[in-house]
Amino acid sequence: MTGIIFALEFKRFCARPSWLLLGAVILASAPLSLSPYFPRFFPALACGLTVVGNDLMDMFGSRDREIRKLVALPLDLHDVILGKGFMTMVKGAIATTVAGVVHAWLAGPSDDSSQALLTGLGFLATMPPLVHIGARLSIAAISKPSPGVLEPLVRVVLTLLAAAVCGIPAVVLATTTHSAPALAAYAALSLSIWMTVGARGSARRLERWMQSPAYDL
Amino acid sequence: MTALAVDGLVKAYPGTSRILDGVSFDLPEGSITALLGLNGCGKTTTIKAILGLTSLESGTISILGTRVTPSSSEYKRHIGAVLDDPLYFDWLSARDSIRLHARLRRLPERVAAERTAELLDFFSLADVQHEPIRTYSSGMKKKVSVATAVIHRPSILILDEPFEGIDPLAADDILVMLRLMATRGTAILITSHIFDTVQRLCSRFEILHGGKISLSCSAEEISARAMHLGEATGLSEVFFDLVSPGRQHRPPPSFLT
Repeated sequence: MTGIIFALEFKRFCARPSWLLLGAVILASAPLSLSPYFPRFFPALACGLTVVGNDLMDMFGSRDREIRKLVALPLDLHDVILGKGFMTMVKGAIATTVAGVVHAWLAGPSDDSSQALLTGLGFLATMPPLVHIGARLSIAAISKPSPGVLEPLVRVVLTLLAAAVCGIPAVVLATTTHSAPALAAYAALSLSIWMTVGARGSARRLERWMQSPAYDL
Repeated sequence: MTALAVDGLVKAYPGTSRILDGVSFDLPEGSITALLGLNGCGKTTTIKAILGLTSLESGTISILGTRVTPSSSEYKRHIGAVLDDPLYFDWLSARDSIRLHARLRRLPERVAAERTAELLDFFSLADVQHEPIRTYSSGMKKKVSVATAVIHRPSILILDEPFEGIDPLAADDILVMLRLMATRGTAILITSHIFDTVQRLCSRFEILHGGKISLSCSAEEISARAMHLGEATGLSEVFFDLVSPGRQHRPPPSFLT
């Protein structure tokens, strides 16, 4: 079922790609890629995280529509979270790659391919905890009877904060060890923890809401 | 055998009185049951409870003998549903949407392909099968909803206003299809305000009023009650007599007279 949800999300992405958002963040971050004060590939990583953050703001869609469809269908909630989470990571990876290519074109050729590899692995290591936090924020938002005025802003700030916090270990690892295998191992560990513990925790959180008196779609 | 048993459903939304106040009814296999009532009487809430879309203060729902909870999902494989808020994803095409529902019900690939083709043909959607559903008319969207609900030949079919927006020819074809499904054992629950169609189709009637089932009877009993009221076959008159006894037409707004 995870594959079905992933395929569904992929078709949605193909039908409604966020080109505008991606274009905007690439352009906004382009000056950073030309700046000598920033590591060459970090602006591309920022683009990917922005796209992911935007996606996670609305992981389950608006409270009365997408989640209702998913709950009414014979779907395991764990599979739903995994399928959506994987697609979010793929979107982030696409955004990072496109931004990286555009920035490289703007800044001229570079032979620092090891830095690009470390950045990419750092991104992969950062994604699972970020997706987990985004899913929990999204679940918290849909399970409230009515959202507050500040809620969208709070969610943006929290997700950006989470991205920064989740990215710190990867950045530290990348800058201290410069070891691609170490970073790849960290990314694999991060992904497996999310798949086994994090996604199940999110599914249980959704189930608890569905058992509560406040549950109504 | 009872396909769906609803027992003592109680539901209140915050700040309101109970919209469901002990709703109980059964859906035998092979029956077509109409759940009727005025706007806001709790028909959709009852359906949402059956599909696990809302929590209840009390009451139980059993599907094919198994009691269900909102977070259980396995029982939903046996159900097909058409809701007022449709269950398709409108960025998919009709074909992809029907195939998705087939895959979720674990139909073999070949069976899913054959049934999808037949359904697209039956609902006159073959010509637009690759276009996104969001480009369809409301009637075509409703047809997609019905097609996705029946692709797996469900044991229980729940239809909330299935004929809304559908042209008379297609509606008539759907009536025939539903009758056939019932003869093959599918239990069908239908809500509609189109009483003529409902009366042609249904063998049982559950009238929801004041949060309770105020009348539960067969088609023959409806006819007998109508005769008692001096009407030949009128479901409408029986319904009016139940939910608004001694009803007088309201005068139209004065500016229109």
